[in-house]
Amino acid sequence: MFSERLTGEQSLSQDFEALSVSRRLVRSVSQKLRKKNQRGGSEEEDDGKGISIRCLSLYGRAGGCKVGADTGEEFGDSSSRRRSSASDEGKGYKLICGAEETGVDCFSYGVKERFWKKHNRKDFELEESIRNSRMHIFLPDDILEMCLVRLPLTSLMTARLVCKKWRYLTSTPRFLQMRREGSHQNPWLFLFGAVKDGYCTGEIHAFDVSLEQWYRIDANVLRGKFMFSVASIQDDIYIVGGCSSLTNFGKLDKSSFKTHKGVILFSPLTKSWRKVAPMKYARSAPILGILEVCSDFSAGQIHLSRQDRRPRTRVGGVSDVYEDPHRLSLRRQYRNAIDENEASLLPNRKSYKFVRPKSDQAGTKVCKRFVLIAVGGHGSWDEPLDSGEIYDSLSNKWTEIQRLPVDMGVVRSGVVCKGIFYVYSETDKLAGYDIERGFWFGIQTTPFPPRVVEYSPELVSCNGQLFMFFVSWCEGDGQIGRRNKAVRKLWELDLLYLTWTEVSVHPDAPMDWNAAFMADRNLIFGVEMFKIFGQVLKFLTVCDVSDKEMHWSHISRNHVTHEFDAISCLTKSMAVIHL
Amino acid sequence: MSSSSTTTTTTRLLMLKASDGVTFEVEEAVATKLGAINNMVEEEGSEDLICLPNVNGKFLGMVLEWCKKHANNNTNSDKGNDEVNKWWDKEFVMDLDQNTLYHLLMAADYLSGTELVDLLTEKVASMIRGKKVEEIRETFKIKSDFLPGQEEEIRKKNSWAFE
Repeated sequence: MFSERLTGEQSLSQDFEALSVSRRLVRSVSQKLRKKNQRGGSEEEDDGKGISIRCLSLYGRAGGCKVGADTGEEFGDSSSRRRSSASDEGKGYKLICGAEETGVDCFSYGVKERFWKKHNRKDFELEESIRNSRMHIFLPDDILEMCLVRLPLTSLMTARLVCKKWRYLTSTPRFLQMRREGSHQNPWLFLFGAVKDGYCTGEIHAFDVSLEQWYRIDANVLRGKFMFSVASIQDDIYIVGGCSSLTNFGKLDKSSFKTHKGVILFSPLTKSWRKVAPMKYARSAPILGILEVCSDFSAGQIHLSRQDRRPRTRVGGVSDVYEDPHRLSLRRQYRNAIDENEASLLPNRKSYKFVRPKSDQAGTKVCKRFVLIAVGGHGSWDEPLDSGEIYDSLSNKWTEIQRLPVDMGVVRSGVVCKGIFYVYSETDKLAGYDIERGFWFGIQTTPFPPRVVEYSPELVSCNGQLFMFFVSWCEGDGQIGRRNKAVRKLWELDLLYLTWTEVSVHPDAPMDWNAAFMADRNLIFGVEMFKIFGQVLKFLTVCDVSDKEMHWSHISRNHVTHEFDAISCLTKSMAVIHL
Repeated sequence: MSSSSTTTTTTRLLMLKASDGVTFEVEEAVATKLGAINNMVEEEGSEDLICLPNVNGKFLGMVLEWCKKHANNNTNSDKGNDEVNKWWDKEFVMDLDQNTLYHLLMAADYLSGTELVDLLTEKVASMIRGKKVEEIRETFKIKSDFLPGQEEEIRKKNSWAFE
């Protein structure tokens, strides 16, 4: 069966995986330790009397930063997030920010509520005098955190280089969570699939929209790969499937290529790569949908078992012998063994998952869980696929889902909107997949906007609304001699009445048949790439959906795509995330 | 004006006593801009003297000055006041030296003056934003404690996000 084909990229990223596991272990252990500390602290919270007594002594020793901080930690209330660097990272921290012992950490934050009425004038005068004698003071960690959380990504990266303490403070899961929840993140575009001189460079071109700055990220894992799909959620990007040339490594070569089922998770914030479970089927350019779900979500498993599965048929099928002429099956067995090993690693990975995206605060037990759907695309023999599968980040497993509706045709675009994965096909059919209940349904909309078939329609979801980009011919305006031009329009589907409404006209003449459009939060970004006058140009546009006018504006004047090959227009893909 | 009538009828003076014994007499409407004081007033409304052992008089004064401006500007609520507040906030943080800024920030945080904390943390953030590592270290008087080569290693690891 072709689902068991090998994927070369797995072996490529194997080494990388091994490296990152050990690092993860270290991190999770230290986090557990910290949790333990905090819990210990909150148990003694109720002992009000004890607190105030200790607190007094705390003031008495105001000069000793470590004493003050540690006491505050142990008897602190669980709601306050005060942590001292000393208790977090061991004594080593004391040296970090110079030799000054500051009195600042000695603020008795942990017990402040109970301490309003206590009058400790004398002690405070003492503290004050100590403080004034210092040349410079430092902010308590959590206030510093509140400042650092406001930084845009590039400044944050710089801040991480300042000292170990800053690096630590800005790298904790809790900090990253705070940053996500705050409003200080800015959109970034990630452009994949650049081809230069026939080679798939694997380079990712990242664009900081707020500062209009391009960055190039080298991604060896992606070198030689083409026609993969990307989907982003929160601050991660999944890179799914794709092809690579068998005979000309690294080249975009469609004569003999291998299609992959591997899935890679790219975290731009940490610039880390992680292999996740491979798909059941090899796919190039699958249509992806991604959704965050609650932790008790079950992705239509029950329905799946009931559903009548059509026998798998392949277009232009090739026997297994053909597929595997050079005793590659040995490798296949080896690969299976590895997959089993992976399964045994799963508990580890799970606990890591619990820790990583969440704060280390007690009480926030909700775990981030995503489902990623991949449907269609092309299989190992470049045949169009009508199968689909769904990945659950919690179990790190792919499960097959119901096949696409029979008369659907080749799906060209898909997006998740309000728990439904919508797909649109070449033959202008719209279908939805209910992710929770696990079935497909056809959607009859009236009327379909007219479109020029050469241009791929693009579904976009934003703010709970479903949009589609169609390119259509301009209505003749009655003037003779005018050439009819094509325009790209944005239509919104009314999800209740299933009617399309034209909401916006894209300002650019549609040059790219494969223009990519992506939405994040309330913004839709578009990238068009095309070759003209011997150069590949790209146009980046953005539209704010929450704005009534839905006005498009151009961003980035930089010409990063000049040295790209024209084929990049076809192989490109884009992800947008707020970082 | 209905909104002002409610404030005038309930206007009550609170005494706030700072760590160094300095006392401030402020209208309740002003002091309750600070979450901590608001809580106390709601909890035990009878007491008029509030001791704040963790805040020095100098900084408490500044915090209250800020509260007063914002409380006054908020009573007659029209759009123009947002502008006034913004302008005034800008002035407020402009000339703060770092020491004052820090103490003020800690005082504001201690008194749960959320808006003021936002303003001040933003000021600190603006001192970091767009700066080079050395400049940040200089501003905040921090010595690098990375081992030789370690910084370069991290820089390399994150290289895509640097110039």
